[in-house]
Amino acid sequence: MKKDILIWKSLALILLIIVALPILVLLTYIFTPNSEFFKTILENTLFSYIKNTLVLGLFAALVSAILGYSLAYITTYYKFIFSRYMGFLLILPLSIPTYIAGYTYEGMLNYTGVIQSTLRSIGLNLNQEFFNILSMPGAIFIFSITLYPYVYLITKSYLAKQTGSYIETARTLGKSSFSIFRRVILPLSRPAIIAGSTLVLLETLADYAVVTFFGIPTFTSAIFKTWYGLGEHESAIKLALIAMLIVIIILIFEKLLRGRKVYFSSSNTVKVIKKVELKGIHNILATVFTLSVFSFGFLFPILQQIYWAIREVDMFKRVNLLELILRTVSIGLIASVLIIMISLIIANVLRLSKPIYKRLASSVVLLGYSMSGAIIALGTLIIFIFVDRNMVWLYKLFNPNTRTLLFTMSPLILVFAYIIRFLSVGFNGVLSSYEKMGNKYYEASKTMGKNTTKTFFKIDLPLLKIVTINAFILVFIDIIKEVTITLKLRPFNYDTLGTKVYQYATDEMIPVASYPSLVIVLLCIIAIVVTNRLRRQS
Amino acid sequence: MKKIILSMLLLVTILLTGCAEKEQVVNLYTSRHYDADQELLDQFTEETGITVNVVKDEGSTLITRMEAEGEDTLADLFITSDAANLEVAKSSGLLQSIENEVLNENIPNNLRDDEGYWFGLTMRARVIVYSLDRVSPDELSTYEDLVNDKWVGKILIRSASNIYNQSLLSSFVATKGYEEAKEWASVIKNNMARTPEGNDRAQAIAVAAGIGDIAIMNTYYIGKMIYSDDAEQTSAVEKVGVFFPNQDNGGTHVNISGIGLTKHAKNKDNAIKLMEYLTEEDAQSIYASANYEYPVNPNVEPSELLKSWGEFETQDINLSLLGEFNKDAVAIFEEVNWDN
Repeated sequence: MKKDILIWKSLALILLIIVALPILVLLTYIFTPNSEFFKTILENTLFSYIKNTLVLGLFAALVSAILGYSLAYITTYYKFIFSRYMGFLLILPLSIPTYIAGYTYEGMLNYTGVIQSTLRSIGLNLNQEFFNILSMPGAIFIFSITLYPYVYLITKSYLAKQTGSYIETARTLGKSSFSIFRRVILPLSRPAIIAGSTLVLLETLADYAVVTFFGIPTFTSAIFKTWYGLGEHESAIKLALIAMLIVIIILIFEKLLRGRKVYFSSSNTVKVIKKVELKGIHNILATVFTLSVFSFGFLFPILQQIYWAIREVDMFKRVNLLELILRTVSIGLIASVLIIMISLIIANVLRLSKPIYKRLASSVVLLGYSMSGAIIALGTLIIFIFVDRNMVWLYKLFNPNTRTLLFTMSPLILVFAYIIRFLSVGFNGVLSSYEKMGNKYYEASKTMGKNTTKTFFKIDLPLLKIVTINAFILVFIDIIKEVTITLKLRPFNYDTLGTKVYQYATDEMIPVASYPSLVIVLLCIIAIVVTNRLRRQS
Repeated sequence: MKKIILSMLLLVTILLTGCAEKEQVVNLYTSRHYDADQELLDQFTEETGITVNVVKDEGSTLITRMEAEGEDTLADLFITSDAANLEVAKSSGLLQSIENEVLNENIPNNLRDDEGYWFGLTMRARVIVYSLDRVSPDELSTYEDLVNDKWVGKILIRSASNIYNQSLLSSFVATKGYEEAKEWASVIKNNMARTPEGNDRAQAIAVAAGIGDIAIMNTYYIGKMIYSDDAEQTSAVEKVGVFFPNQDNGGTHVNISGIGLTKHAKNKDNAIKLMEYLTEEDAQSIYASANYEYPVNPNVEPSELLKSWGEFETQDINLSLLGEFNKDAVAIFEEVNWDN
């Protein structure tokens, strides 16, 4: 039995080390000498880069937190017109890649876009400034409206599962619903809100496409200017490490903010929340609010894209859609399954360890998510080339004519980099549900003589099924939207839906990009629907 | 779980065995991501039986990738859509020089490297686009004149991360020196109608919309807008004129897409065949017609649209210098805080 735990522990440790490897490789670049340009940046513009980055990231996280949480709250506790569909519809903005939302909104609002040309046709000529979305507030809007579902999803499942019994108690004690919200629900949901908005923050900080298009000089644009403009990938890596440091500081601050409070659910049976039916003006307000968020986050940009797609119907002939879909879905599935497996293995070991190890492991996993995909790609590339060069003797046993860079030039490198980048999305969900579950089942199972492995498959896994499905879907959606890593590491003749979208978007053919982009959205919707099915079944 | 592991193993085996191909190939790393390019490559395969494998990404990251891969790289050819990155690839020792009659005949001297490390494929001009309502072409003359007070609050231009802006400024560093180029950039920043945002098309649209009066942009995108499926875009672009600056002194700034043979090319013969193919008249006229770019081969005429703009003097500068001074250009943009 001891041996069994040892295997789990060493497996988890090895996985953690592998995950940290690309970042460790990049850390060695700290010691390269500072180039002239690096000094120029430090002296002239670093401060404004940091300022812009923080303003954008924090506001996007804040607005997403407010949007996501209020929507989760309303849809969990109240009934109103359309409330039956809103629960699902409000997830959908997540299916639109952020940069596509950015390009689409600009296309919609600019001088030649549908809104202004319609207004012009009825003789209205309005101030251009009014329609300019390419600004800091515009960028905050784009990030919040596409990323708030992170907060929404995480807080909603938390509210639904954890708060039923508290509310009942509070209600029997005769508290008003506002005081229940302020005294009970909000404090209880704080960890979930923070977890969700952290994802939004990190996703915003790693973005390159939107900030470049919107002309907002953030840290990422500095990183890429250094790399693309100067070919100084060493300086770019150093800048990325500075960015990572800032992220770590924010996260430590967040941990302090979250404090040490851990709420275990008071009973194991989840109390079904009785939804209150909203009446009159409250009903209308709730309906208008949820409907407008859904419209801005999903409906409007999608309608615009459908309109473009119909206009560019010739595109259909240019793209081998089936091949793109198969490739995108298969690599997305493989990487997501691996991420969930790795998350389960590490979390299963961690729940028995001291809190310090938990924190350490979570931080290691989070590093990948806090870095720009391009930098992760570079770290991964260096490792793969190193491994290939040292393993070529082995490859030759299988195939004497093998090329040296066998795995470097294969889709496996993509899978590896996706895991590094998105592991924390899956891991956080899995770990937090392990924490919520506590150790009582595990201990009971051990007293009955089952070892860790048996407990894992017979007890933990079935109990964690729903959360695992949730985590899986978030990871899967993230991966099929991914484009930076894919561009940097793809083997020959390897296009995904994401790279096609990006290709046309950067060639300033946004309408043409709507074709593959709509397919991504469709795939995400299918994934969400399937998940909902599975969730209901279990 | 077991099933998953088994299928993973299967995948790896497929990957391992699937690589043992013996067909004729040429491997290409390119930063040109146009459908017209793919058509050309397909056509090449059809005619020669040589399969072309392609990796597409940003020029500089492809350079980083080739550096990391070293002599194990599979890339035989490297194509970028700007001269600066070709020069960087050359000076980083990633390319090899070739002496080839076909190439030398098809491409004029000034559009290829003196030592045969890279060869131009297409050309674009960075021109001034002006509002037909508010600006008369008589008011326009040179890039240098844009620092004039009459343009305060009127100029539209993209961010410093745009490679064509970098190349334009590099050409000034090369011809006028660092300080003068910096002076130009800092005054232009003052004359901007707004902080840089959007892509090239967005600059032309902003002129049409009256946000600014003139924009510095690429001929390629004007062509794309004129032939856009979007009636609003075509009518917006009708409100702007195209002006080729510096016709009497120095010429209009141009940049090229170009190709180079990699130092560690493993399919050298096939690679050279493809290089030749892309500079021949057939391929060049596809570049010209499908992509609104100027062909480099003098025997091939540009498209009707480009011809309608008339012939123009191109900047008299060795294109290698764009690469050499790119670092300076990027640094100047940083020093004058161009994007803020």
